[in-house]
Amino acid sequence: MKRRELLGVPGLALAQTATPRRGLPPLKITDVKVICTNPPYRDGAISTMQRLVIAKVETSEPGLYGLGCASFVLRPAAVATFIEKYLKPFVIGKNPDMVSDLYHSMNVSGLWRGGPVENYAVAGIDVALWDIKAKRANMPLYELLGGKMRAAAHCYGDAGGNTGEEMADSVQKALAAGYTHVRLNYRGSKVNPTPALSGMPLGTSLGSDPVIDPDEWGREIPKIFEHVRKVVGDKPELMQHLHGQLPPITAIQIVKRLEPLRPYFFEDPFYPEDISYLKILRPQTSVPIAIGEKFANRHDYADLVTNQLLDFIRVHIPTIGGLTMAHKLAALGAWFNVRTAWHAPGDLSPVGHAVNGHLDLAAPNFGIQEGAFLPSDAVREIFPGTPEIRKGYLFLNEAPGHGVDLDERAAAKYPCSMQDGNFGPKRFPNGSIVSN
Amino acid sequence: MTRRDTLRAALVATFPAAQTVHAQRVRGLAPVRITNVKVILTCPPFPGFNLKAYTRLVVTKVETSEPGLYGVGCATYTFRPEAVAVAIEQYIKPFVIGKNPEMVEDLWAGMNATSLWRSGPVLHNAISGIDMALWDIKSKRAAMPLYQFLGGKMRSAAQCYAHTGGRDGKECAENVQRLSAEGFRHIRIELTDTTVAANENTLTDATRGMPTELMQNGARYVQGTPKLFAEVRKICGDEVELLHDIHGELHPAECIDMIKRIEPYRPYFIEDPFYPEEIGFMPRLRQATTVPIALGEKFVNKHEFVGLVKDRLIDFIRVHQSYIGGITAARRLAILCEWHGVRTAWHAPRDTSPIGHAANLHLDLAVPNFGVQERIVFGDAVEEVFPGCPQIRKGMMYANDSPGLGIDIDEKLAAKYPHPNDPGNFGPKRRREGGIVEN
Repeated sequence: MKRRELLGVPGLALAQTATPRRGLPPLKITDVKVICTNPPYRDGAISTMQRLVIAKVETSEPGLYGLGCASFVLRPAAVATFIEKYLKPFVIGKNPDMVSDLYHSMNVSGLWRGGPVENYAVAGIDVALWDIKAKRANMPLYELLGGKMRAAAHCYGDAGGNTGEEMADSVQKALAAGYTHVRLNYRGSKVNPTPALSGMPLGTSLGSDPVIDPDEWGREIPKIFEHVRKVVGDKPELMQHLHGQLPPITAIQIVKRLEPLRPYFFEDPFYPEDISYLKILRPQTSVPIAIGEKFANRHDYADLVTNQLLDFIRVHIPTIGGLTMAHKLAALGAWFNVRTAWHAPGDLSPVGHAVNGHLDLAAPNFGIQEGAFLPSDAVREIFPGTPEIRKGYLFLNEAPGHGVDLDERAAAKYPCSMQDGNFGPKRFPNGSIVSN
Repeated sequence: MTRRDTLRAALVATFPAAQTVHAQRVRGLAPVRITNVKVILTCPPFPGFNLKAYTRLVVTKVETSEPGLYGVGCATYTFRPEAVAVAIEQYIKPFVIGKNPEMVEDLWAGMNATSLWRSGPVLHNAISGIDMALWDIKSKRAAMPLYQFLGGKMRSAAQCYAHTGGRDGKECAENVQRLSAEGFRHIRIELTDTTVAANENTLTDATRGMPTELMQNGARYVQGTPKLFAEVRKICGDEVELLHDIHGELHPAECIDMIKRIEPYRPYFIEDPFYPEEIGFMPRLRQATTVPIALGEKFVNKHEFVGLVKDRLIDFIRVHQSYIGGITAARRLAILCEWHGVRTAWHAPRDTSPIGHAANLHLDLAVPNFGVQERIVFGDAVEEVFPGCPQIRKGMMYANDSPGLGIDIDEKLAAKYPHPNDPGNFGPKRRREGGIVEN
C-alpha cells in the first residue's frame, strides 16, 4: 500500500477533514465568571487555606471556554473583585487568541502592577486564554509549549515533625508511597512565653506554634536532618524547607551544616525581602538552593536567575501572572541552567496543578515537581480531569487544553467564606513579627 | 532663692494650666482600642479635569474606643478602588479591630505578614489606609502635628513644582512664564501632542485592527523634547528650573539618548526614564549623562527601589507613599535615602486623596533630605470634602498646625460624589510599531 493510499483510509480521512486549512473562525470573549469554592481536605476539614478562586472565560463559540486558577487563599475577595470590576470589562469583546497582547495590556491597565492581588487576577484570565487556545488547536496544552520532553513529572513528597524520630517516620511513609525525594519540614517545639510577648497579639498559623525560636531552629534542623539521613541511608534524596522566617545569617549557618548530609536542595532560606543574602550564602556552600514560592514581582526573581544565585525556581505560577510569565521565566531559566520546581500546595486549584504539569512535561529545564497534592473526593468531583500523583509521578490526562474542567454545581456545594482567614502573626520570643 | 527656684516660681505663676497638663502626662494616656474601620469612596471634581475614573479616591477612617478620637488615611489606587476597599473590609479590618492603635510598627508588620504573599498596589494601599490613620491618631493623642513625630520642622513650607506643556516651545514658554509669575521656581514641561486618541488618522498599519485607545508617537517625543527644552530655556532664561517626566514610555536606548540631548539645557531632573520592569538600564544611563534622575511613582516592591538608592543610581525618590504601604514605609525609605544623599520628591497626582497630600507634606517639612514636592490644585469641591487641605501659595505648600495630619473628611459631603460606574482601565496605549506602551 502506497503512502497516499494509506492517507485515504477512513479513520485518517476524518482527522484530515478536521484539519483547519482555511484557519479558524473569528472568536470573541463574551463573559468572565469568577467561581469561588472551598472544598474539604481528604480528612474532611475545611480550611481558609483552600479557598479556591477560578476564572472562567467564555467565548462566542458555543461550549468553548477556558479556566484559570486565581486562588490567592488569603485574599480571595480582593482577587474576585479585581477580576469582576476591572479585568472582565477590559477583556469582554476582545479576541482570546491574542494572549500576549491581552496579558501585557491587562497588566498595565491599572498602571501600578506587580503584586500578588494584581498577578493572581491577571493569571486567572491568562491561563483561561491558554486553555481556550489549546482547545481550539485540539491539543493538550503542553503541545503549545513545545511538546512533551517526558511522559510524567517526577515529584517530591513531604515529611514533617518536631524530633528526629517523628521526622524519620514521616520520611519513611513518603518513601513507602513511592517518592524518591522527600522534603523535611521542621515544625518547631512549643516556646515558653517570654516577658517580651506579654500582651502582644498572636495569630494561628496552620497548626504550628505561633512563636518560633530561631536559635532552637538553628540547633534542631541539622540534628534532625542528620538523624533522618542515618535512618534512611544514602539513597533517598532529602530536601529541607525553611519558609524564610529566620534571621538570614542563621539560615546560612543551617544550610552550611547540612552540606555534609548532601541535601538535594534547601528551600526558601530567605523570604523575598531578604533575597540579597543569597550573594552571601552562595560562596559559603555548594548546597543547591530552591527559592521563590512567595515571589510576585519580577525584581524578586529575575536577577537571581541571571546571576545564578539559585538552582531551582520555586515560583507559584498564579502569583507571577500566569502561564505567559511562567513560560518566559522557564525559558530564562533554561539559558542559565536554573531548573523548575513549581510551587504546588493545597492552596492551588487542580487547574493550577495541571498548568504546573504541562510546563513540567514541556520544559527542557524541568527539575522536579512539588508533589504534596492529594485531592479529596470533593476536589475531584468539582474539577473533572484533576491530575493525579501515582508513585511519586504527576500524570496529566491527554484532553485538549489543560485538561481540567469545573463542575459549577459541585463547586456551589462548598461555598467559600470570603472574609478574614488571615495568617499569623507569628512572633520570635523577642516579640518581633516573623515574615515567611 | 536660687536661679532654678526663681524660674520655677515664675513658671507656676505664669502657666498653671501647663503644669496641670504636665502632671496628667506623667501618668500617661488612657488605653485605647481600635473599634471600627470605615472605607469611604468619594470622587469630588477637580477643576478643569473631567476624567472622573482617574480621581476615584479611597479613604479610610479608623475609629477608637476614645469618643471622638479617630484617624484618616489614604488608600487611593484609582484604577482598582473596589479591590482595595474589599482588601481592607474583608481582611485588614477584622485583623486590626480590638488592637491597640498605638502599636503602629507592629500593626504594619502584622498587616503585611498576614497575607503571606505581600506587596503590590492593592495590598500596600490597603495597609496605607490604616497606617496613615494610626499615625494620625497617635499625633492627635499627643496634640501635635504629625511632623513633630517625624523629628520636627526643618522648613516652614515645601517648595513645589508645577506642570505645564505646549505643542511647541513658544506655547510652552508662555505657560512657564505664567507659572513663574505665580511664584513657582520649578516647572515640569512636556510636549502635549506625543500621545493622542486612537482613530483612523492616528492608527498605523501595525496597530489597525488591534484594540487601542491611545497612540504614542515615539519619534515626535524623542526628537521634539530636546528642542522644547532648548526653546523654553532660551525664552525663559536661566533662573527657572525645568523638569520633565518620561513615564518610562520610551525604549530604553532612545530614552538615554534623548536625556543626553537635553543635558545642555540643564534640567533640574528628568523623571521616570524607565518603567519599573526596566530599571536595570539605570547604570547605563548614569554612565551616559549627569542629568539628575527622579524615579519611582510606579514602585510598589522594595526590590524596585532599595538597590537604586543603595547604589546611588537616582537623585530623587518619587515614590507614591500609599503604594509602598503608607507613612511607616515612606519614613523608613526617606531615612535610607538620607544615608545615600538621595532627596525626596513624593508623587502627588490628583489620584492621591488630600490625606495623602498631607502625609507627603509632613514628611517634606520634617526630613533633612527633602528635595521638591509635586504640586496639586484641589479646588473648592475637594477642599469642602476634606477640611484642612494643605495650601499652596507662591509655589510653596503650607501645613495647618492642627494635631495629627491636620486633615479631616466630611462623610456627608463625600457621599454626594460617588465613584463613576466605569471600570476606568488605562489604555491600551500602543507604539506606532505595535505593542503595548508600559508606563
